[in-house]
Amino acid sequence: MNEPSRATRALAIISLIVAVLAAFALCFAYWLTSSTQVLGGLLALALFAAGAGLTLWGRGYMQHEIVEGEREPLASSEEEWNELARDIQTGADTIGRRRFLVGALCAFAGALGIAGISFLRSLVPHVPTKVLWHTPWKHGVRLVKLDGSPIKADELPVDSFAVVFPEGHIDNLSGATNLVRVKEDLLDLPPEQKSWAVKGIVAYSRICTHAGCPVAQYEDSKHVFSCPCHQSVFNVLNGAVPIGGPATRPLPQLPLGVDSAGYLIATSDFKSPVGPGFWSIK
Amino acid sequence: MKKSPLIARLARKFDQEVGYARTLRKEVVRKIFPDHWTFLFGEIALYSFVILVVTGIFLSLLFSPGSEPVIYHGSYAPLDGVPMSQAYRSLLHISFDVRGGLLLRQIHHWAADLFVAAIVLHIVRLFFTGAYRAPRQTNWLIGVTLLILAVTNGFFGYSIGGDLLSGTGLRIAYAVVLSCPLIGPWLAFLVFGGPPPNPMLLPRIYSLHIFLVPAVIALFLTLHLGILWRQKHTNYPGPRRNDSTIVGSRLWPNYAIKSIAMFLFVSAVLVALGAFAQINPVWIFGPYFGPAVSAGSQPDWYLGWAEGAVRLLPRLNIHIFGHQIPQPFYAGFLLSIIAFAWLYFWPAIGARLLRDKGTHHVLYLPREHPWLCALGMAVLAFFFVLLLGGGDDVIAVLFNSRVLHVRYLFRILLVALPVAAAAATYGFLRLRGGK
Ligand code: FES
Repeated sequence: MNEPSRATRALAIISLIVAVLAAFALCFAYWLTSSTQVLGGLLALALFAAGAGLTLWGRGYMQHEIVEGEREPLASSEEEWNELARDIQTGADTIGRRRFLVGALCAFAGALGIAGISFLRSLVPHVPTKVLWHTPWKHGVRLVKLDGSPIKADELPVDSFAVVFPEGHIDNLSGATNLVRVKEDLLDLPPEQKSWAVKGIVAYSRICTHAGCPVAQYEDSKHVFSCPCHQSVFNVLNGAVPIGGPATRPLPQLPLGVDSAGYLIATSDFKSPVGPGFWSIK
Repeated sequence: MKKSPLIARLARKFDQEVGYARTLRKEVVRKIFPDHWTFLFGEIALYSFVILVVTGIFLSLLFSPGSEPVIYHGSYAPLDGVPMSQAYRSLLHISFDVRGGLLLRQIHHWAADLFVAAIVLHIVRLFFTGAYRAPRQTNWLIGVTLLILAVTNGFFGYSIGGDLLSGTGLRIAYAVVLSCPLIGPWLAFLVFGGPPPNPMLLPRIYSLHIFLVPAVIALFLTLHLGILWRQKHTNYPGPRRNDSTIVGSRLWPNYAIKSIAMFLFVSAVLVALGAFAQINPVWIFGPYFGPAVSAGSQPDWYLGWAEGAVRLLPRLNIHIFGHQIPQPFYAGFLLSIIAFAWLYFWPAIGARLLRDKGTHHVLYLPREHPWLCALGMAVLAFFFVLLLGGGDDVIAVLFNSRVLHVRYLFRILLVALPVAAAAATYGFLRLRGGK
């Protein structure tokens, strides 16, 4: 045993006493306060003091002895290995018609494995392609705001921006849609999408085609949507074609119409899947 | 004669049942551990895991991952009357109404961050000193697997809370899995149960987080330590250190005391962080609501590089056989696969580059192999730039500049910094007397 210096010994003893006291204090503190700082502070103090006390004790009393040991070889000797192989072979030789047995067991394990993998299908509630290509939008469904109110085409001022949902599906993310009204003559939609706008009102999926964040920002001076996640930018005027950021696919456009009461409706579902891209999208 | 203490009598009794004295003496009591501070990273990782398990059990007894919508009426006034998922309500309950709940939650989160950090530093140390060489290749592979498991479970952990931040993270993760060629949609639906949010999602991830992944981690950790025990530690080069010796201090009592103290210090630091350093304040983010988004949302640090890759790597409109390869695939999925494949194959690649397949128990010093170290530094620099790039919007706000400008800067750095780091490392190590 080493003789520690007085200072080391004193410090070690003080640390250990602090550790004990802090631990005791914690027992009481728990019943007196719910403060995260008090409870955590006491616990941290107790642990730290115990660690320090132990370290000082070790430094002071214990010899710091560097020892040298042998490394035995890790690998088995050639002889041991051969004995093992021989025993396994001898055992195997006593199994008659080994080929058939091994074959049968392999086939069994393989078939059971495939059966097991089949059960994974139960974890997939819906066929992906059925879900991914559809949203609650269809012909005649009204556009409603978050509070459920429908929208008259004439009520929307130019340059206004609104988030709309299919009526009756307000909590449905795949149906979330951005609605914008611009001056009608500014619109430059692809030919097959020309008829999807009503009086300069265009609607695009709110789900970013890059990684699925909501495309939350609209800059009316530039007529662009931008996505807060990775800053993809989409041009509202020409069919939401991406003009910046990592997205490569336009936001799907919702074909709009007006019902007999003058409210905005969809005339069909989106023609392409909303949200991030996947293999079967052309 | 003085009676021996109870514990000694019990131990003797058990020895009469199984007979362990010889093994225990040789393999534990007299076992030799080398002393070097760089050997501590693995130990810190191990102790973080212990703390994760302890705090995790406590939290799992209180948390409910349901996604049924409820209205909040707890003691956190700003969210009173707000609709939210059961999961988020139970998170608020743990944070505000359970005594010590917030403390344990924050310790758990800090421990997860430290766990991954310690594993990364451990792997970096092994890389720069050649500890991946024979006979330790298998243990290296297990270690890389543990890193993947730790990162995965960390992500699962902060994703089950039903808060806005993690909800956004889940959607991005879903997009990355969905983008995988051919099997993407089925794979994404298998893991996530459909596009997030959906009623299956949180309970499923919760089950993986508290049961499956930790069990696999525990299994591989046991294997890792078992192999380490059998092979013994490596030694840094020095007097009397060669491939048939091991030099250090004995487990009993020197190393045991040091290691227990280390455990106490790691716990103390994590508890202090949990008490005084706020982490993941979910009540500020608010409950997840699909159409909203939190701008500037960041993943935990160990996934920052993936987020950075999704931001920094340019968009490429790739089509093969009339099928789309979305950007999240090559930026998220492919990059991770390449990164981990590189790590998995490193023992084989390293042996080739070193032209040395032999068994080594003595490490090399970085300066003995400047080229390898330059390569390692380049890879680290690459991931470091990606990590920073994951916060390019935050950095832009910080320096009052435009996100796109910051992004271009990072794209340049992504190429330039690895080259510079490699050159600097090589030059520095040559000066220090390499070959
Ligand atoms: S999710 Fe919109 S840019 Fe990435």
